[in-house]
Amino acid sequence: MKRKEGILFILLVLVVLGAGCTDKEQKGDNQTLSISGQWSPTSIDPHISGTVPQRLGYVETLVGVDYEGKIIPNLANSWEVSNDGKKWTFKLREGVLFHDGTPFTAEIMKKSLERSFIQSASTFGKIPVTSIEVPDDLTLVINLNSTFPALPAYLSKGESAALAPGSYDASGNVTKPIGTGPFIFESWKPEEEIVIVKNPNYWGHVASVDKVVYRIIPEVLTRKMLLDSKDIQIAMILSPDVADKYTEKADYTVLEQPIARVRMIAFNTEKEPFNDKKVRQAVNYAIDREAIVNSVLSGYGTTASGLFPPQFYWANKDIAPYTYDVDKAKTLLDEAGWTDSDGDGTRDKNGKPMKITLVTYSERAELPSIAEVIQQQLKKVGIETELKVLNTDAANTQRNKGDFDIYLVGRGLFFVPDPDEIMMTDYHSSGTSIDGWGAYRWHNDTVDQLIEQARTTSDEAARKKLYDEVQAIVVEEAPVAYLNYYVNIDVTTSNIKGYRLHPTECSFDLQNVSIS
Amino acid sequence: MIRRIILNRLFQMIQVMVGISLITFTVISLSPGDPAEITLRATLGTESPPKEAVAILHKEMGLDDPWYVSYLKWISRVVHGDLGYSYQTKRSTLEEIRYALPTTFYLASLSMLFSAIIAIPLGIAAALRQNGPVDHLCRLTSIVCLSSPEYFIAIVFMLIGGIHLGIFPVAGTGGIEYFILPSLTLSVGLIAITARIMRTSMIETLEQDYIRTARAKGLNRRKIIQRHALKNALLPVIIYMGTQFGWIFGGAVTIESIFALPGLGRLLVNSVSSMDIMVMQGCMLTFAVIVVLINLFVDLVQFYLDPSVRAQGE
Repeated sequence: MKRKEGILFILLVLVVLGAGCTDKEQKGDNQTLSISGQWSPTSIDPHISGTVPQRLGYVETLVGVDYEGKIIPNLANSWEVSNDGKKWTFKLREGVLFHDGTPFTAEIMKKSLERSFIQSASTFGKIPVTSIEVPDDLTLVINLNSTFPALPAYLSKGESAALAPGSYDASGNVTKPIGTGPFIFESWKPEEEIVIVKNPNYWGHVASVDKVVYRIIPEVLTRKMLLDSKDIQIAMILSPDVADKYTEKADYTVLEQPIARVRMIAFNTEKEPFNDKKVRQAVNYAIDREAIVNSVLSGYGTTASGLFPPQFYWANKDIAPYTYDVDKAKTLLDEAGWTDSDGDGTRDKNGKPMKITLVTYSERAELPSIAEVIQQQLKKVGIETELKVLNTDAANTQRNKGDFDIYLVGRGLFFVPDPDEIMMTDYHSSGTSIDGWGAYRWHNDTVDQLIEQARTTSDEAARKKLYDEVQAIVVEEAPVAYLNYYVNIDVTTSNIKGYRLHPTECSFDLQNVSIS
Repeated sequence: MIRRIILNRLFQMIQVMVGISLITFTVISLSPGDPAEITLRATLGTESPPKEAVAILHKEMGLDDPWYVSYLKWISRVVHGDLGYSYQTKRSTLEEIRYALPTTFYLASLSMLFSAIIAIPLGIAAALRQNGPVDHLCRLTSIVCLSSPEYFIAIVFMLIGGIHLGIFPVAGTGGIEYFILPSLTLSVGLIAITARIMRTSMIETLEQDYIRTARAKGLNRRKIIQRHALKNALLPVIIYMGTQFGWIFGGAVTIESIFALPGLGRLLVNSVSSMDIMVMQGCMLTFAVIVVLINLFVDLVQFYLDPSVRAQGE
């Protein structure tokens, strides 16, 4: 009996250990690249959820975005615009094949675009398009009803990707995305993983790795563990405290990339106390941005002075940042009529104490900690802050109802790599009255005019000047307070070569990655 | 007799389900965020969907009705097998649950197995050598297991099994190897209590008259334990473990998120964070059904194994 139990125990141990060994053997396959990030597409249809497909490279758009954030040719070789700025002619790349062998033509691109304009109306609805024409197989003409220089930037969004007719079922739903990119879509398990394989017939640089497994892991710590166990070779968006542990390790590489995203607070300009510019400015002076970067972000990030990070062309680099100046903040609050009349440490006006609500969300892990620091800093100037940390959707609902005083947010800036989209959404009154994460219910006639003028101005330098002016006015009027710019941190195993982080996060550039 | 028990239990089950569905529905209805607005925000990809569209969807989702009308509408749909759909993935809730359930079931079953393999021998050994080193070890293990949060245990297991030893995958799905660490983590709490119950039950059983008689007859200790004591001593352990199976399903919520297992727990967490109402309701209801069914099963097992329960029934 004893012997029998012993044998059974040994067998159990062997089964368990054997199971583990199988996995190790798989890890030895150096042609498969395993990577992990937190993002999952919400749909298999790239015209609805195009960011991840574009980043992974199984779909492509007419134009691309380079590492300086500039628009570059992609499926379109070149483009030109008519003198009145209303007719855009795109010359398409010759010899491009979809993954199923279908030749890429202007007709297919037209159908793809028309579909994406409907499926992602919220983004593409801003384009004043009237019709799309196809004069020949390699020419696509987009007619607009007004000048719109940001058109190519909008067409770089993943949702405008070219899809082969074979991607759809009889009812027109995408069943398997067939694109033109360096990788071919193989399978997708929602919230779990996407598998793509090398496209040997790619028109550009053919990928070095045969296969990529993109694992969707929302927990930072789990991504770290996967990296430690070498189950993955690239762990994306690690928090500074986690990434710090790899800086001294020889078998890992830490990559940092400042990206087009700003952490900022938006004031509720609709109601007291932030309907008063002086109070908004006071808060700007009361926040020690340097301290936030150093204490909460462990130095990964830079303090913000305006909307766009300075490495981008569209940033107004002449804006003087709000300095940390408690005395100035106090003076401004005094001038606005908020004083500590009863000596309890909290300012008041007409018998109403200065108690405000800060709403933020926990999906971006650093935001609640930043909120706490802000709470402490505002206390120093006599503002009592209540924190409400919710999930993104609940926080947004709260915001849309106007049920907040300060909204702390991490705002992506160049999903469309042109200021038009963010300016229209966050700072033009048509956007601030209904939408956006920027200036809440803020209205400034001059800003409206400048943004409208910029969206119909063809000359790039002139546009830049107009947007510079908008940025300066926004900082002066302070409907928002910019805190700091993001730095993304990815860690790879040291045998990974050629991996680059994109400043607008539109690509993982996996075709250039090799495993040594 | 057995039919009466089952019918009785099924009737109770309906009552419990109505209660649970009512609580779930109310709690979800009270949670922050407007489901219609959230749905449209995701489907249209805009921060503030048009008010007209929100109003239409409000009506469609029955959000304008008084809560009891909404509840009745919802429950009548559920009875007809319509749990709605996920606004995120556009798939039916039933399909989502069907995809996630096997993972959680596998995870929970393996956890039960691990806890049985570890806790039962440990409890028996502790009972046979009361106040000896094994008993102290059993007590210490129980205290450590009970006082360690699951999250912490998960990380420790990941570090040891996944990184230092390099035997098991740290996260994700695949073969049985992917379930070892999460199942062990999940079984830790159960091991602690099961071992204690096993110990107490075995001590009590060994003090029974029939055991004394067996000893007097000259049977050796091993045979007494194997043939006479074990079956009776195991009964409370089996019942406890049975009822805990449902609890293990609940524990899967944390474990699946940490180990990136696409089970029911992770589905629930995802649906809560994105306020995917119909999936949330579907998951909660599934958890409730599982717990009720397990309780029914445990009752039946007890009925078969415990003569006193059978006698009571008769």
